[in-house]
Amino acid sequence: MKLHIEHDTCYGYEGEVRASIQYLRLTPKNNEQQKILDWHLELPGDANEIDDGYGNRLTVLTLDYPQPEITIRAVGTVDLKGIDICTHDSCVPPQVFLRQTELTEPDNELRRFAEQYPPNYDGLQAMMRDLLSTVRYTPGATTVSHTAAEAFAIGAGVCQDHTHIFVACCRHLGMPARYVSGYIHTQDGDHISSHAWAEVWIDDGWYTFDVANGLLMPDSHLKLAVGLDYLEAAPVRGIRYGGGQESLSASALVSRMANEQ
Amino acid sequence: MEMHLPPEGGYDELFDADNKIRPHYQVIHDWLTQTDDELIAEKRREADLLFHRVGITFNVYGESQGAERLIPFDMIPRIIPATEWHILQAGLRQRVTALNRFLFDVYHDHDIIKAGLVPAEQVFANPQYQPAMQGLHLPRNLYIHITGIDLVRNNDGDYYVLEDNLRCPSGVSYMLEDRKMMMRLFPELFTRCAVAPVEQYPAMLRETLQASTLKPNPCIVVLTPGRYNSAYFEHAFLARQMGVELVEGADLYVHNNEVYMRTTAGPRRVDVIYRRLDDAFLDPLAFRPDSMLGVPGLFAAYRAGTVVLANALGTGVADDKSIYPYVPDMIRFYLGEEPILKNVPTWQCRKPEELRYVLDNLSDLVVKETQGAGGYGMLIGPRASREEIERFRDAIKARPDNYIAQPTLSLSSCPTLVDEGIAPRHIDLRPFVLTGKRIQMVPGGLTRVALRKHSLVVNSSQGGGTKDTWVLEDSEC
Amino acid sequence: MLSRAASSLFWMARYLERAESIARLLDVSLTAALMETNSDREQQLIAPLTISGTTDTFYELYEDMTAQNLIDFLLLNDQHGGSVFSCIRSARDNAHHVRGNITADVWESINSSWLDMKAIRQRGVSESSVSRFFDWVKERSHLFRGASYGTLLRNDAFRFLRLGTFIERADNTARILDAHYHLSTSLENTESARDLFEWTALLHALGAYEAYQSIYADRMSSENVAELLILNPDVPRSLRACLHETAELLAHIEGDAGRAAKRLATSLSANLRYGDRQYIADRGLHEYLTDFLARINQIADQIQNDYMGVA
Repeated sequence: MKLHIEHDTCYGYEGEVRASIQYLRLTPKNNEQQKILDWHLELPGDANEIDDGYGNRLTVLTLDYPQPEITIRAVGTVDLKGIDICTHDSCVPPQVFLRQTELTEPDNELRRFAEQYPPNYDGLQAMMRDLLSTVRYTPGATTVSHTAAEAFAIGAGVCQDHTHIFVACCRHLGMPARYVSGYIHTQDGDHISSHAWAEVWIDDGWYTFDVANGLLMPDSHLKLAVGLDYLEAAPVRGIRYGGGQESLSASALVSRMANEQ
Repeated sequence: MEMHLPPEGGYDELFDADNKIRPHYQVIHDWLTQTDDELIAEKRREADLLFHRVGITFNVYGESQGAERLIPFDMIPRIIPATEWHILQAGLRQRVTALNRFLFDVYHDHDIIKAGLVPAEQVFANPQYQPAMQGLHLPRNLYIHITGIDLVRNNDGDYYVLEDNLRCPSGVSYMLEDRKMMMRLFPELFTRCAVAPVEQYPAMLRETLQASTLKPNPCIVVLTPGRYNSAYFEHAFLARQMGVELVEGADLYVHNNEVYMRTTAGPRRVDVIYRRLDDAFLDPLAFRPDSMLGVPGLFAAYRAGTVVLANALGTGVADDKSIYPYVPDMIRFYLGEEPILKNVPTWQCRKPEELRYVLDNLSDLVVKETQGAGGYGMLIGPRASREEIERFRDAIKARPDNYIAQPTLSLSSCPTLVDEGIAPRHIDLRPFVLTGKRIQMVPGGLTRVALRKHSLVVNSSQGGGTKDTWVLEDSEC
Repeated sequence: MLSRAASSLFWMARYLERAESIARLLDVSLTAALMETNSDREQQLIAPLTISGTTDTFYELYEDMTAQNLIDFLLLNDQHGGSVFSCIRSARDNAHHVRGNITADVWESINSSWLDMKAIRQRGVSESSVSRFFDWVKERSHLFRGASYGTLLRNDAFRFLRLGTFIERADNTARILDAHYHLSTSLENTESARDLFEWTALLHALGAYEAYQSIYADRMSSENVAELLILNPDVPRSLRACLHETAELLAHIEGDAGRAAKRLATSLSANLRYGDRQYIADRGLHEYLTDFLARINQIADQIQNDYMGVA
């Protein structure tokens, strides 16, 4: 399936931002599940590219003159192969993803929840299903700084919280699990921001668990970055000096290319 | 002065088992017994005054910000004969080489794990393993430019490595100030004994940092978390001694993946950062987002290879207490040599059969947190109350992975000036090893002394003091 | 050198100079107030607040304008950032930040001032003991100046420190002069004896009384005092002396970063050097000083902007 993506992120500020530096994980890489046909970023200033330790493409944007707003645009076309398992897209060993972080560290409640499920594919599938009914998809119920345990206690959240909770549980059960950020194409086309889901290492490959959508097959998912949690895989993570109040508007248009299939 | 004899069964640095004076301590012993009490008391006051004036202080964690305290200095030196030092030196060289090879390996091909010597989970799931380092090439494949290896002498007379400090080992300023103080107070002793000098340390450190990059005439800075840090004095001291800038995070910024410092003459490119700041605080965009101490963008610049961090990121995976038991195997694996320095036998609570042993023998063992530092998360079984033991038992049962246990070593004792005269007190030794183009160290290191009677805790935050450490170039003094 | 270190040295010196100026300022007011009728007495007491722009802060913390409240507010109050106590604390904080750039002597002089200050605050200062406190402040200032002049390397660190001193001093002299000129023309009691007493107190406070006597044999006049404190190159607290030093120091700082600051300082310095009392009289003293204060602050901002990375 060929997808076309137009992802705009715009930060508006009360005043002018004197300087700013952003880590952008907005460039997908080729792997066995996805092929990048065309991709580019439109940025307001100088940028450098490196690969981070996980193998994600990291674009570093530095702005050192005053800006009224910062607009970042990613545009491209990719081909999704519809393959369910990903085996080697990262140079970091899977055991790294056994570690909890401040955002995923489970509390007793969450541990008890996890321990109901056997640590295998079927068990995780059941856990995913139950999780979606326990923690309802509710935009605005949480913020980016809510931990897995907090979101679980609230019983509401967005894809980021679902993913944090799910990876926290997997790791607690001794299964390496990673946080994936990217895009998804949905039939109704109403998913307008970027997306997050989990991947779990079972035997010899990474399996997809898109908790928010209850999906196990990544045939509509374009992967941007992986990490231990949101902070490590976030598409945009930045710091700025000055500017006062910030407002964010973001939209990710994911459309299926008509000329295919 | 009156000199109290050491209790039987321990190893004393000055007296042998028959309470005869070891030859390398003869001069000090005679001087101590012949010198008038009043003169010693006067010298002691002079030393206190000088330390106060120079302001060699440390801040104590848990006390209000900026509370400065003086580290007690003991005037009786700890003496190591040259023959002994040569063995230690060879052992340290070997150990540091192997640890550096281990770090290179765990961040590249993972040979030691593939060979089955260290379990993959022990390394990769360790919070100190830094994924950001995977596959990164460093100049000279060097990770640990500055290390401090803690050694103790057991009552069998042998030295044991207690722990490796591969992140930001501190204390070297005390080593240098203690020497300066001794030379000032007792110049006559130095004319009678051939004490190996240590004053070259700052120059050696500078040379090491210069060699950490391939760039000629690099710009070096010392990065401090700031003046409320417990070791701020040392950071300022080393920067001044090396003639480089002491910077805080806010003095640096990153542009185009290069690090610059803000100077009155405009931006200046920085090539080497001797950082005294933990990994987690270095870059708020890559690690702890709430860090105000770091430099946004530093991680990317580091990955891009435009700046050297000394020590490298992620070195903590090799000095973690759960990795410590594998060091002798590392030496055999990477160097094909037998370890020169002994490791303390260690039980890993994560292994069920060893956990059982530990829980059964808590009152005889020393239990340490694998992530702990500074002597806070530690149980000394034979000295602990029943409640303390039970508290640790619960803690160990709850998180066995977090603990290791070792037999109680009886640290050697060394005569020390205390209220009741001169009495034996327990000591350890932290030599500082520098790795650049070659491995270098100054003879000796920092001797820490537990000033309380019978205490085995030498940390300055827990009432420890320091002594000047003499490596004698002749075996007698 | 590091921008932050330059900034700390600059501010360390400014705070110490400010501490001294506050003490001198209060000294003049308390002395002058002794001579006044009740209604004018309050005006005299308020002068230091007007000069430092802290009248509102004062009334937030105290109800009545009394000499004791004023002493407390200007010397000891830790809630008020402009008190001598707070200035010495800030100076010491800045000094701690740059311990690597100053000598042990300079550090010790500041550190022990701070330790003494804390003890003095514990004991309190009363109207009868306040002159001893003024002496103490001046003495600590002399010690700091002596230690820095006598032990610091003549490098940029020294220059930024001295810049702080002279900028702050010029600012203070101009403010004191302006405020007392204003007072002398607005008070009800216009007896010449009072005028004489007040200007004498001002000159004493600025350490320029002897200079005045040796230069102007005739009776005390505001024009003479203004000329002495603005244009005389030999009076250490005169605007001309301060600006001369400022321009000289800037000229010797390495690098091209400070062109704008150098230009502003040199121009203001030339303005004073080639100014005369007629020019000042034509413009009006108050207008002249207002303009001067704007320009000295512009120079301070420019120095921080050019060298210390403060936008």
